[in-house]
Parts: sequence; C-alpha cells; structure tokens
Amino acid sequence: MAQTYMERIQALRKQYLDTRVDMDVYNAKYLTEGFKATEGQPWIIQKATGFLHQCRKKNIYIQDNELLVGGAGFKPRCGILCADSSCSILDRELNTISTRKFDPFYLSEEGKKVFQEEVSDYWKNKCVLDRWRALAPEDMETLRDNGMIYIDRKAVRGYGETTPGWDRLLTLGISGIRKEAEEALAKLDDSHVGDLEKMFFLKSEIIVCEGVVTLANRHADLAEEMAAGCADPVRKAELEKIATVCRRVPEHPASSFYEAVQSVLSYEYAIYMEQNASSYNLGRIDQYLYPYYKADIEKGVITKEEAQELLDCLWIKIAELSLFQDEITAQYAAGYCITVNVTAGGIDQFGNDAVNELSYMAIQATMDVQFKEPNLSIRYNISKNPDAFLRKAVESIRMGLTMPAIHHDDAGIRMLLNKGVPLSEAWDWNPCGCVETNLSGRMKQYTDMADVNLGGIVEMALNDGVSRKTGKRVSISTGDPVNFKTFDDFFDAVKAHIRYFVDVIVSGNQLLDYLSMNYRPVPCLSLTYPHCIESANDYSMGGAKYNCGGGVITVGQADIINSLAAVRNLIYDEKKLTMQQLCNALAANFKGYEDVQKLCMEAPKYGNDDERADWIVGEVFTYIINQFETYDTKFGRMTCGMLPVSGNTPIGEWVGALPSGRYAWTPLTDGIGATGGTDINGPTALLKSVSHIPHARFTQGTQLNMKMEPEILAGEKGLTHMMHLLKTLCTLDVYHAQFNVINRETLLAAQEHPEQHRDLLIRVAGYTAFFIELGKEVQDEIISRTSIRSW
Amino acid sequence: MLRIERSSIYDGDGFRTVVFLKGCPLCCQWCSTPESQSFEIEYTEQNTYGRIMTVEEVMKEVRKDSAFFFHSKGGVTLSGGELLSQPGFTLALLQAAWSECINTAIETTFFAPWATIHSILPYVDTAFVDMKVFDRERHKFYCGVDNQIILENLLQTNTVEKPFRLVVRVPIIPGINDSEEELEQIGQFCSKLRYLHHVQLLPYHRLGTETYKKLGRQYLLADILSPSAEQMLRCQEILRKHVEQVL
Repeated sequence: MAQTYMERIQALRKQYLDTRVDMDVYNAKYLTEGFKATEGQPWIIQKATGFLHQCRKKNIYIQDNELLVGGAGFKPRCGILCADSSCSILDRELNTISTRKFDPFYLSEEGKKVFQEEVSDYWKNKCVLDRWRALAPEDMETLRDNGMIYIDRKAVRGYGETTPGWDRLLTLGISGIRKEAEEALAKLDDSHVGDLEKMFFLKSEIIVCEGVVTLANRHADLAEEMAAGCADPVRKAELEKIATVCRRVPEHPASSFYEAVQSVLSYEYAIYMEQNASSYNLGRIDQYLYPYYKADIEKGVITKEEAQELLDCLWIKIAELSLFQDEITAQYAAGYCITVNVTAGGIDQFGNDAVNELSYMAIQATMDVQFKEPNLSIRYNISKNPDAFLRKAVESIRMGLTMPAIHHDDAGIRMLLNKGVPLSEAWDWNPCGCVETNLSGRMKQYTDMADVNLGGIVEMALNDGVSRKTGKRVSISTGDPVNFKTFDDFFDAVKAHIRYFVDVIVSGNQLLDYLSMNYRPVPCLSLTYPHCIESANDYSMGGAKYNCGGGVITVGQADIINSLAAVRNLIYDEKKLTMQQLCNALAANFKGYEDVQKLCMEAPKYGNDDERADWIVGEVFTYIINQFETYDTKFGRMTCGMLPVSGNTPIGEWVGALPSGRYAWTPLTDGIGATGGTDINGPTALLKSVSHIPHARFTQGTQLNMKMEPEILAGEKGLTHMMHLLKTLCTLDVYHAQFNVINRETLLAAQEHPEQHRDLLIRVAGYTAFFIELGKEVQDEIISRTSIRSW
Repeated sequence: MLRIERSSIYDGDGFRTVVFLKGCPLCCQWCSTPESQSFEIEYTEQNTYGRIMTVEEVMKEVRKDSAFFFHSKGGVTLSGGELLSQPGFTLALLQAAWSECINTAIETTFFAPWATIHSILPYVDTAFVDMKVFDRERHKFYCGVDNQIILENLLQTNTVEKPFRLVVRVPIIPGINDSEEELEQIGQFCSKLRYLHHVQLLPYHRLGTETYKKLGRQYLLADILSPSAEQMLRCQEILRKHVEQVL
C-alpha cells in the first residue's frame, strides 16, 4: 500500500529541519504586562492574568502542510523565556545566547531591546532564580561550586516532569473544567477561614480557561482568513477543517480523533507557555485516544492512514518545542531536549492487555518521523502484552532510532507503589521524561531537582573531604585514608560523605519547595488535575492527588562501583597495592604511576557479571536511597533516579582520578551501564550486572543505554534474539533499556574518526576488541560481514 | 579450557554460552581460532591462551545465563579445539548440563573413535559436525588428517536410537571447497544421514588473522577473500539438489 500521507510528513520534516531555533522574549513581555496590570493582587492572579495576556497577544502562525496547528513561541522551534522563573539568565547571556556552544538560541537586536526595555527590570530579584541565589545555603553553594552536586536546574526551568490529565481535558473540555471551577467558587464563602485562598485559586483557573480558549479561537480565525485567500482547493478545505477543529477544541469535549489530537496539542503548548520546562508528557496516548479512534473508524469518518498521518503530525509539532535553559544547565542536558515522553502498551484497569491498534501506530509514528522527540517508550508487560507488539518495538529499534525505550512494566508499577500510589491506580503509570515515573493528572513531583556526583563521593573518601580540582574543603573530614585498616573503614568513609551530601541536597530541596509554593503557581497546568479543583489548591501547593518529594539523580553508578571494587580487590583482598600508593597515583592523575593505573584497569569491573565487582551494587544503592528516604519534605519523602542525560560529562570535569582507573576530569559513566570499553562479556553479562541495582526503589527510574552489535539484530533471527533479550530483561527485573545499534555507518565513521570511537567494542571470532585497535583488514572484514548478514 | 564466551548467537538456538576446549587433532589452514589448536597452555606477550577448569567451575559460569536460556531456548555449546579429544570432561559437562535441563550443543570435527561419540550423544540436543573437504587427499592436505574416520562416524550416527539434531556445517572457502564437484559429493553424502536437520553454510572469514599475528604464526591463506552473497547462494543451490534444508 502506497503511503501517500508520507509526502506531507516529509514536507513537514523538511520545514522543521530548515527552521532556525530562536529565542522568544515576547511571552515574557506579555507576562510582565499582565503582572503590572494586576500589581498588588495575589501572585497566582497575577500569573493567570499574565498568561491571559500571552494568549491574547502572542504572534500566531499556521505553516504550510500543517493539519495540527499552534505554537508556544512567536515562531516555530522557539525557546521561551519564562520570566517569573528565570529572567536573569538572559541578563547574563544576552550577547552570547545566539552563539553559545550548547543549544544556542538566536536572539535578534529587536528581541534584545524588548527584553531590556520591557522585561528585565521588572523581574530583578523577583524571579525564582534570583530568589534561589539570594537564599542558597552556604554548604549547598560549596558543594555546587566545586562540582559535587548540580542543583540549579529547577530554579532555571519550571515544573514539567509530569503528565497532565489528558482524559479530563478530552472528556470535559476547558469549558467543562471552567464550569467546575465556577461551581466550586460559588460554594465558597469569603468569611470562612481558608476560603479566600481557594477563591484566588479558582478565579485564576477561570482566567486561564479564558486564555486557552482565546488562543484556540485566534487560530480558528487565522485558518478561516487563510482559507478565504487560498487558491488551492485541497489546502483550502484543510484550512477550513483546521478552523472548525480549533473552534471546538480544547474548549469543548473532543468529538473526533482529529479534535482529540488537536486538543492535546493546544493544551500542551499552553502549559509550556505557562512554564518553560521539560517533560510535559503525552503519557498513555494509545489509551486515551483509542475511544476516539475506534469510534471514527467504525463510523467511517477516518481511515487508519489518516489517523496515522495525524499522529505523525502531532509528533512533529511536539518536536517544535525547544527547551530553554542557561548555558550550564544546557551542558547537562544538551540538544534542546524537551523530553516529552509518550508511551504505548501496558495493562488496563482490569489488569488485562492494553495493547490496541494505536499502540502500534504510536511506534509507527516514530518510525515515520524519525525525530528524537517525542520520546517514545513502551510499557512492556511480559505477562500480558502480545509478542507482535514487542516485535514492532524491536523493528523500530533496529532502524537505529534508539526508540522506543523499553520499560519493564511490573517494575514501573512497583515504583508507583513505592511513591505511595495504591495498586488500584498504579497500573496506570506512565514513563515520564527520560525514565521517570508518573501518573496522568494525579502526581506532582520534581523528578530531577539535583544531580549528585558519585565519583566525587569516592574522591571525598580518598582525599579527606577536599576537592582535587579546587583544593578546597567541600565535605566533612573523614581522615587520612592511609589509616583505613579494612575495606569497611573505607566504605564507612564513603557512607559518611553520602550522608553529608544527602543532607545538603535536601536543604536545597526545602528551599526549592518554599520558592515553588510561593512564586511558581501553575494555574493552567492545574486545570487537568481534578484534585486541584476539588481541593481548590494549585498544583504548586500540593493540589494534585499524589505528591512526591524532590527527585535526585545519582551520576556515575559504574564509577563508584568500580572504584569500591578496585579498592577492595587491590588493597585489601589481593594486597597488590597499598592505600598510600593508590592515593599517590590518584593525586598525580596516574602520571608516573602507569603500573598502578594498569592494575586499576585490570581490577574487576561492573558490567561483566563478575561477583568481585557486583557484590556491592545492591548495598551501595540501597544505602543511598535509604539515606534520601529518611528525609521528609513538604511533598513527601525524597526520591531518587539514575538518569544522567548528558550530565555525566560536565560533572566528570570536577572529579580527579579514581581507583576505577578513570583519569581525572574525564566523563563519568552514563546511566546504569558499564564504563565504555570495560564490559567485555556481551549483553547477557551486562544485564546480569545491572540486575543487581534495586531498580524499583529508585522511583524516578534507572536508565540503561546499551550498544548492540548489528549481527545480533540481523535478519528474522535478529528480531527474535532481541525479543528474547527484552523478555529476559523483564525476568531479571531490570527496569529500562534503550538501544543504540552499532550499524555499518557507525563502523565506517569509527574507521574515519577513530578518536571519537575509542570505546567501541566489537566481538570478533572469540575475543572482544576495541574496533579502532583492530587492523584495517579485520575492520573491513567486520564491515563487510554486516552486508552478508543472513549468513 | 580455552575460554568461555557468553551471548553467542551462532552456535545453536537462542543465546548460547560457548565453552571452548583447547587442543585439536586437525590443523585446518583457515582455522579462525588458531589459539585453540595446541593442547598446551600458550603464552604470548599480551595474552595467555588456556587454563585448567573443573566441570563445576564451568557449570558455575554456564548457569549465570539461565534466564536467557529459558526465554531464548538457548543453552551451553561445547566447542573447541576438539571436545572429543577430552572425552571424560566432555561427557561429565554434558551430563551436568543435561541434568539441569540446560540445552546442549556440540561443535566437533567427529575425528575420534566412534565409542567416544556414542557415549556422549545421549546428552546432546544438537551436534554441529564440520564437513570441510570431501576429497580424502585434499582433506589431508588442508586439515592435516584423513577424513575417512569422520565420514564413517557420521554414517554411524544412523544407528543410534535416541534422536538428536545433526547439523552438517560446510565452511565455504573460495577456491578450496566451493567447486560444483566438491559440493555435489557433500550433498550426496549428507542425504544419507538419518538425523540430519540441515546443512549450514558458513562463509569463510579472516577474523582470526590478528590472533595468528599475536601467536607469531603465519596465516597461509592470506590471499583468499570472503565469499560474496552471490557465491554463497550458488553453493546453496547445489546442495539443495540433495538436501532439503540448506541454510
């Protein structure tokens, strides 16, 4: 069957790729106008009014070929300055933002002028970021400024990391939600204690409803106008349809698949305009869109191909969101990544298989569009989901798209249970952002309020709490490591620094919560959290049904494990080194101690199913999560995850040489995988090592990036191998895996630029070797084998 | 023991843990694992080839992937070297795996007394037997031994009672064993085998050349290139005249 819809998708892709990423300061301008117009009123009313101004005044557009419309900025692919969050970033980066190394945003001279004259002054010492800097505890600043933690992220960008109540939006529409707010407001009495605050909240809800509907109607007007002037009858009809759809949704309940998809998109843009933030997830799209799809197919209103086209269009429109962050934060998660997670599969409320036609179509959309956004994942339920579904996922992975990410469903459900959600709702969880966990319309959380440097913790234990990079005391004193008589003495020092780091991070979290509750209301987001209206309480104040304590990301899991294993193995078990020798070598970054470095590299390594390294995995990570969970916050116990995005590189620049054999200032290991080039026993051994992590206790998820050799995935057998591997992943209770396929192109690139592919491991006739170290002849042999793969 | 390799997908069904024994009575010129030929432990500057292990030590490694075996119907594959040259160890390991319901496969030349083969076959799910060169003299030239005993052993398998899967493997080495005459003879012979599951063609490769260098040995077939997909298809067609399943 010829896929005619792909012509449109290709055109939209090209349009997207040809669009420069710009900086939008106009949202900030209109927001500021709204704040000024309501000066002296409650902050949430000011915020809602600011949002209404954005919706009324922002520049809107409809691009060629589009079926779904809208946008957060004044043009597509903008980064948005969210002035109430972090206005001062632009003060600092005004002249460099267009050209900075990571994630530049083009800002015109006119834009600079608007910012300086109409935005900047108003927010000085007022935006969350400025307040955060002013109130930051000293011990937190010390750890941060010495690279032991990274903790400014949530002052820089807003909430995100949540999944709106899509069902609520689609079934009630904004008008239905507005009605709820109005009815609730009518019942309140401002002479009752506590009602006044509720009234402020509900009034702000009504104001933002007005904003969302206004913006949709402006798009309807524009489409009508464009249709009137359109000579092409086909496009004219499309524009008329767009006008009809935008006139109905998101104001009213969706009455068709088309309307449902546009409604989702319109609201997604709206909450992003309210708070520049990552991961406002689409969630379980195959579930909440299915009733509309099924009805339209049955009525003959839409064909499967047309529905696929709309999903593909949605994918492209989601990719148009570009996350704005400051220069430093961008290093930790580069690529404008908005990380909007969308998921398929899993189970339904009765515990039955939830896979339907749309589950496959969601995967197909990623295969069609081939962008990195939205971040497609599947909830793979090994006991309920059909093999055909897993197979479709593997087909997509095999294309080298790295998506979908595979989530072991049962582990995700247990993470929700551990977050305090009963099983009666936990079945409905969805992956959030990278690998975090969430519950549509019911859960508030910051999933990654800080990164903690696990390599740094090892350094603290081996250097008495002093940073090798800066020479400053940054943590507590645990004494000269030479005095550690046993491995346990050393391990106790590591634990002492863990305790100290945790304590400092939690004080940062308490401050963040204070600032968020007072200065970061999100009335538009609150619309789709039913409990917010019921309790007349904003999302930021804990209005959602379930609230979670701040999430902390541990970075460098393999580094801490390999370092602990090397210390035990080399110093205490086999006595190949003394602590003094090791410390001297680390202080010198192994210069002049090449023999020590060799021993360190040869010590047992995580990722090989070697118990001499893996024995401590469960203990270390259980200790860390236990420490965090002893702390309560306004929103519940602290939580943890292992998802360094790209943070392992900048955080590594602060860490000196480690007993793992890692050189100073080089990246730490990403996710929960093995350090590049040290896992030489193949994928099954890697997964066995990874299975030692207490995954379900790290309720913000655990991220495993795996590189797959092309031969494992080759041919019909390859699909089966991969499916078996994924089923075993579930059996081993590993939560997540994402796959990079080393294909022919990778190998050719490695031949050309060996320096960029140093850790590319290849298994050759019985041994594992670094590809770049093989002779050209054998390299060519391996490359040519990828072309006769059926043998 | 030479080494144990995990997550192999070539040596039987599913994910396999391949146990390579050291020492082989043949010395095929194209051998891709020359470090497996000598019965002695070999030392080079960077590597040590070979170690002593007990059956239980090996089983401990094999069990590590039992979850993968379960889903993929994989298991342990005994390879070489030539496992039939260490019959006591081979039998004990196969029995141990068999008793734990781990699927077993062997990769062998069948160059051994029939009695040895007969004793282990009850514990073997799949046997991969190489048929390298059919002609007796040329086999002797390229592999160092007479192939009479190999062919006789293959025919003897027709007499065993417990069924097993027999896979005859033919490495396709351009210019050496890919002539029509050669392949015709192999095909005719294979058609007589009662337990033959399929004939598997393996394209010759030179991935072992690095190891020859490390061992300080000369690789005699340096000029021979890997067969193309078209060459492989041609060989497959010839064999298909005699045998139903040629992969």
